[in-house]
Amino acid sequence: MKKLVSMLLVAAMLLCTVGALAESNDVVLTLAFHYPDEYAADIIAEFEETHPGVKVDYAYLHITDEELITRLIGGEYWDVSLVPMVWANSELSNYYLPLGASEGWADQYYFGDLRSYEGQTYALPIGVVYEGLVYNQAVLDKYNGGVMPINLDDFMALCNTLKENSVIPVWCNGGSGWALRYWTNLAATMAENANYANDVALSRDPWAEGTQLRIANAFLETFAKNGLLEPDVVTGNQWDTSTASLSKGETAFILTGTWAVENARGMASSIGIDPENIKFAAFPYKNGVDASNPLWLRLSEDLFSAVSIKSEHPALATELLTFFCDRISNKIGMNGANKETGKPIEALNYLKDIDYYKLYSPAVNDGRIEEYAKNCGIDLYAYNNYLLDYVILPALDNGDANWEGLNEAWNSNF
Amino acid sequence: MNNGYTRRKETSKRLTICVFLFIPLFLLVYIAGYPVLMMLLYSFTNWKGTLSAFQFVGIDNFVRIFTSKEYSVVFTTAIFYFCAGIIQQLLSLLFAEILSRPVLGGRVFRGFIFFPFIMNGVAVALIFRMFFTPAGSFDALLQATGHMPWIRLWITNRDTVNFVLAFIFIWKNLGYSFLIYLGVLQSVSHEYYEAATIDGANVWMQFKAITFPSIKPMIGLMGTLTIINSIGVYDIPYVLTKGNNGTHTFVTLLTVTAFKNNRFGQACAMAILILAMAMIAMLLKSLFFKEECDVY
Amino acid sequence: MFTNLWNNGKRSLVSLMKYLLLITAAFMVLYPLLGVLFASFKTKVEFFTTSSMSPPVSFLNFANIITVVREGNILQAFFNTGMMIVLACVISTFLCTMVAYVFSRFSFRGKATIDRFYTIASFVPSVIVHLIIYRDFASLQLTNKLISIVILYSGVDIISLYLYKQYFDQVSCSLDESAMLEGCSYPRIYFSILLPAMKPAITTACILKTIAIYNDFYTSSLYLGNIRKQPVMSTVLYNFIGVYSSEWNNIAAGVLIISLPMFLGFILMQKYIYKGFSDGAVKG
Repeated sequence: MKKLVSMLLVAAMLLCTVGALAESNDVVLTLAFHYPDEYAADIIAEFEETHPGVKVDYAYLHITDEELITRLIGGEYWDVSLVPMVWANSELSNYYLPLGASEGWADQYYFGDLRSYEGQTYALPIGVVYEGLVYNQAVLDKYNGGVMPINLDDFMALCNTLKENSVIPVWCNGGSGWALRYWTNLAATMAENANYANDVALSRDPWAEGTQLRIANAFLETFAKNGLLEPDVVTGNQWDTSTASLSKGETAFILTGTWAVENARGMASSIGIDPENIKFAAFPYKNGVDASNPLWLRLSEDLFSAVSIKSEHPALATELLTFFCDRISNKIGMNGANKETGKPIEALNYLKDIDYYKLYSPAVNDGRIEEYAKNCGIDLYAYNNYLLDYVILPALDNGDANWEGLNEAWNSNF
Repeated sequence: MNNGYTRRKETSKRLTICVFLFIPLFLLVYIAGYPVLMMLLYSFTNWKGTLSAFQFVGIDNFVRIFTSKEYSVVFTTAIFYFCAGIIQQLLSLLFAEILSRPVLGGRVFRGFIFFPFIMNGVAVALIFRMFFTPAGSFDALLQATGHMPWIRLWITNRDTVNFVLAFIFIWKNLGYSFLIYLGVLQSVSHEYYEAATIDGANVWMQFKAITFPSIKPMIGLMGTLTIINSIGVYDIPYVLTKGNNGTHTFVTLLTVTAFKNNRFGQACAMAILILAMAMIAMLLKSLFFKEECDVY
Repeated sequence: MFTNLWNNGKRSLVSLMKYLLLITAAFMVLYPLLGVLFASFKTKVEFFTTSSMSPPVSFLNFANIITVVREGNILQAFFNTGMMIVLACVISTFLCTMVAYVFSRFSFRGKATIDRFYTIASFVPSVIVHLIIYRDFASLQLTNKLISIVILYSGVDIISLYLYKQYFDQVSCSLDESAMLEGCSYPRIYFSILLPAMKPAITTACILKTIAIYNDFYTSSLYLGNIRKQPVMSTVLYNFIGVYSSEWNNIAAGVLIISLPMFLGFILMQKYIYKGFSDGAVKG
């Protein structure tokens, strides 16, 4: 008996010390990304086919930044991996390979120079999206003659009509944090100034009366005050609930990026609803919109990928990086970031026929904004959780957002 | 006894202590001691967690925890969880007292009470998001029992959200303290109670005279753990509300400070503060439970 | 006669209260689980179109359970978790009992300090600890291997230490003395006399450790890396939680599946669990 037990123990010991990786003679590149293996499988197969003798080992990063950061700081690496969103550009050279002059990359890719430091680009965007309202056409058919409002007054009037008919006008996904960033990004769109983020965030009182940032954030205040948001804005991870509600026509609008179109269509078809109902439009932030006074439509970045400085095959890994970034975009519902070859997703093809939209991409943020944001815990332009605690919840409570609190916190940076 | 024997025994004793403590102490020092020392060092710096250089900033990080509005919320939630912890202790004592004696279906009831403790934190958070969601199971229960007016947006409402989380905390952890108290209570011989009953002692008197003294050392330990756990709550608020709506605990805010705001120095200062509070709790405990000073 | 009746009445009132309390408690535990139980038999359409309190169309819809077992790689996960638990329990039992033995039998300088350190050590926030020690694990090539979790859990934890110490305190020192006089060394006494007598306490401590390892999702997913290649029970649910979408019906089924072995284990082992505490406790 004792012998058996000890043999079992030894066996267990051996099994536990064996790693998961199998050895092979091929060059193995590791690739880490935050979507399940299925999304990358085709791309990897294609890469392996065009590069005989190379194997790509895919790692699915299923939890958040804590894990990614701990692993990278711990000295672990993947040849190609995501860059933690919270890392400032000045940190990147410690972990990632410089890819070359940022001007060149900026010509070639949207946001090709966003993750750059001292003239060198370190990371490439995994795709780009337009920011606006993802909506359910069936709701509009029923309550607005099938028309998506393009003027603010019409939009607000529609929201009130929807509320009276027990349709949730706007689902903000406050509990998810990241979902609120689009409300902050709206400020630059409304200001119709690509450099707006830098202009306002480096001032002392970004939320002073009358700033576009405050006006953009105040949409949430108005929505919250008037009961135009979903009932539970706090519980985290409700994205699915929101897209299901949108598909069923119980919610009309979600302000988000266009990656959500494919995502929500997937939800719609899996619960037996026509996915074509899910559409996208710019947020109607002003009145009198026409071809001469167009609505600005923001082209935004998502996450970035880079090549590890420790990679043993830097040239090959860089090739994999561009190969992967160029192809993964469409798979995850984003437009390609490559200015020449990057395709928008099919569902957005119709946008080019609309003459009252004007596409813009925001200027690169001054590094100080990030620094200030981290310092005072107001995660402006990053996760934007602050909107929940300073704007939505106070407005639900007593009708007013806590603008003074926001300014005060931001002021602590100076 | 001759001298040689004593000396041999002494040597053997020393050797045994050294050999027996070597690996455990190595693990203690490596998994706890060394990180704590590093944390202490980092807590006086503006370390960003990365390879880039950091500067010493003195006690700024600590000052900030006590003066910044950002951090005041964690003290409030700690009080919530502390109260929840006390309720948990009382409830588990009550159920342990009931179930330590023969009760019809006792095994089944014990199983039910212990069950939540064996569940994964992610699972618990999932269960309760379905429970407290608008028109979820809890609202259905209130409706069925005719308490419609009580229905609120449990998690969005700032006045109820911490009660909700405290409730989940008790729900999840009750089984643990229950198990420990039950074990201790079962060791008290039934003869004592029988004798006491014959002498006409009522339930309360029995508890005071027999039960309490036997569990006192355990109450001391569990009390310390309660205080310290109320500061260390992590998984449920992190999964359910991400610390929004005034639900940040020390550890969730620490995680956000480190990994979202990239201020690892500050986070280390918070960790050190947690340890300092744990030490204070232990000190208080040893004041109240003097005679059991070697039972932690 | 009358007093007797009154006493009987009082007693039955007390026991009525008792059962009322127990039934309430059982209800409080089980009722929240009902939604998950229902959800695990619902299709995705049903999950998103019906209220969480409405029962599924069919309790025979095992599609979710099959998906979880297959995609979550449950068998492999169970095997891996079992390996980790067995090893961690064996190692930590030796380490914990050795410390408890030394603490209980000898007095020496620094004992109280070590004692305190053990208590404090259990409150070091682990997210930061991992940030600091992960580096070493990575450089020793221990990450992505089950052994990393085993090492992390092999240390002495405070409840086990307490449990064992109580036990050793109870076993009379005269037993050691006599064994000593017969020429047994301390380690010999520990291994051949005391350890076998500790079975109930060991069982209890191991069960508590098992619960901890079984449910620790953060450490597992951090140190084991790819959950598909190195699945363990605590990370099974992560297969169905994506960045932007989660398969709630599968998650619900997963909750049931991963809780089941622990629940069965608990029911079967129930009496041993309490025994560890009761046999070791100081008699009142």
